[in-house]
Formats: sequence, C-alpha cells, structure tokens
Amino acid sequence: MTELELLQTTLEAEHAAVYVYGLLGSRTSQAGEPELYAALRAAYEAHREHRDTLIGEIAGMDGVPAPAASAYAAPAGLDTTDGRYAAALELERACAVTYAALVGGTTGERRGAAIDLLNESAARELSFRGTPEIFPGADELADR
Amino acid sequence: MPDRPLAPPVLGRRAALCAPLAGLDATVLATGCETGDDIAPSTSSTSSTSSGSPSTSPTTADATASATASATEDQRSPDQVLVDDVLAGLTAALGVLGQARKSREIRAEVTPLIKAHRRHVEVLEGELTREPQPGPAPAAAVALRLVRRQERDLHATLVDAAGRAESGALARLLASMSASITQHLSVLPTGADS
Repeated sequence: MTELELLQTTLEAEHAAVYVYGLLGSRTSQAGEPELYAALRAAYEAHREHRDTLIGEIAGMDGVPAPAASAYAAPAGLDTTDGRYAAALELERACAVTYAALVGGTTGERRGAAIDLLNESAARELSFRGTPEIFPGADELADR
Repeated sequence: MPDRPLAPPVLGRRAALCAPLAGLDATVLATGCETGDDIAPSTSSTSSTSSGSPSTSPTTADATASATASATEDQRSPDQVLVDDVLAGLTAALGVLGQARKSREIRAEVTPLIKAHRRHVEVLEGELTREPQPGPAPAAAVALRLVRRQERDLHATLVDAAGRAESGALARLLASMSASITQHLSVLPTGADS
C-alpha cells in the first residue's frame, strides 16, 4: 500500500469513528452518565480533528479525500451503558489497529504523527473501560 | 496473588515475528546483568517451556539463533542497533520493576508491566535473565517514582526508535510497545510523593 492509500484507509476509519461516536453520544445521558458522556465527547472531537487533518493532508498530496460512507452499521448494545462502553472500546481498538498500520507504512514526520495517534488511541481505550494491553494496535502479537 | 511466581516466558514463541521482522536479529544478550527481577526462579532456558504452549519450528528458531550469533558489532544493521538499544532499555526497566516488586504495597500494580516487558523482550528476540535483585524492598512511593521515570525514558526510546526504523514492521511493533507503556503508566498509582 502506498502512503496515500494508507492515509485514505485511515480517513475512512476516522469517518466511521466520527459517526459512531456521534451515535453513541446521542444515546448517552450527559446528566445520568457524565463519565461516559465526557469520554465519548472527547473521543468524538479528537477523531473529528484527525479526520479534518487527514483530509487536508490527502488533498495536499493531490489526492481526493475519501468521502464518508452514506451509512454505517450501528454497533450492537446501544441500549445499555455497558453496551455503549463496549462499543466505544471496540471502535477505539479498531482505530488503534489502523494507526499501527499507518506507522508501518509511512516514514518521517508522517510516521511520527501516526505514532502519536496510536499512543493517543491507546490511552483513550482506557476511558472506555479498556485495560492495558501488551501490544495495542497489534493484537496478533499479544497471545503468541 | 502477587506472591505467586509468574510463569516463565515462553521463548519458543520468539519465531512468531520471524516473517514480519525478517532480518531483525536482536543481539543484546543480557548476560551478567543485574537487572532481572524476582518474579520467577532463575532459568537460562532458551528452548524449553513449562507452559505447555506449542513451541515454534526448531528450524526457524535455530535459523534465528544462528543469525543472531553470527551478527557482530560491525555487521549490525541500523535496525539491529535500534533493537539493541530498545532491549537495553527494557532490561533496565525490568531491573527497576523487579526492585519495585519487592515492595508488597505495589507488587500487584507493577506486575502487569513486568509481564508486558517480558513479552516485549521475547518478541524482540532478546534474552531474559532472572537474577535476584540485591538489596531490601524500597519504599513504595520511591519505587513508583523510579518506575515512572524509567518507563517514561523507555517510552521516549521506543517512540524515537519507531520513528527511525527502516523496517515498517519493526516501526509498528515498537510504536505498539510505546502505546503499551502509555496505557500502563495511565493506570499506575501516582503515589503520595511521586
């Protein structure tokens, strides 16, 4: 995969993350579940910022930024607090996998930015009841 | 159960990364170091395991070991140098963690980091030593402060190495390890005066 293709893949992941976090936030009570709400909001804003950065970066490479899909599958379990935590954690872990792939396929400043994204995402997992992993974003190594 | 020794590492797993990290041969041999920890009894096995986990192909493992043994200082690739630096950092971190683990108050908190770093060493094909840590148990707050400092240093080393690695697979691995430290540091107690 070229760097541009990897950036497009990452952008697609950001589009999905923005959508799903928005959906999760809409199902979460700010008053009744303040901790989850704050974490979802922070994640939503972070991914939206990453999305916009990627759009600019891809455009700067004379690429056409991948658009958001017309629809995304809603994760299961949205009706309960536990389900929303689980969905958010799964989503963030998927983002970490995407960022790790970006690290492996880029160089220089772009790789440095990807390393930062991976670290941020790993930290964000903890706000969704995640626990420390041995290889965030590279799950295939953890259980060998 | 913090007092229960952890299972020894499964060194046979080390070839798991042979394909993605082809050409990556860790040359750091932590022989004679005094930075092991006291989690498990001293062993020097590099091929056996008591875990019952399947071992990897001897052919692959032998080839890796042979390549490692034949690598000399002058022949090390830039990525090998990076891995050696990381392994040195991991060894130092494990030493600090092993000392910290003597303090019962924080034993349960530092044990996950020890497990993670041991796995990190394995994947990088380094060698683990478990020589007993000399000296008494440190005060928990002091130990935590030292652990945090050491982990921050190791994190910086990993981020730098990930950025400079020629191999994309190695860069991904090192970045993932740095993210693991980020997570572990986030849940590590701060301690009253750390």
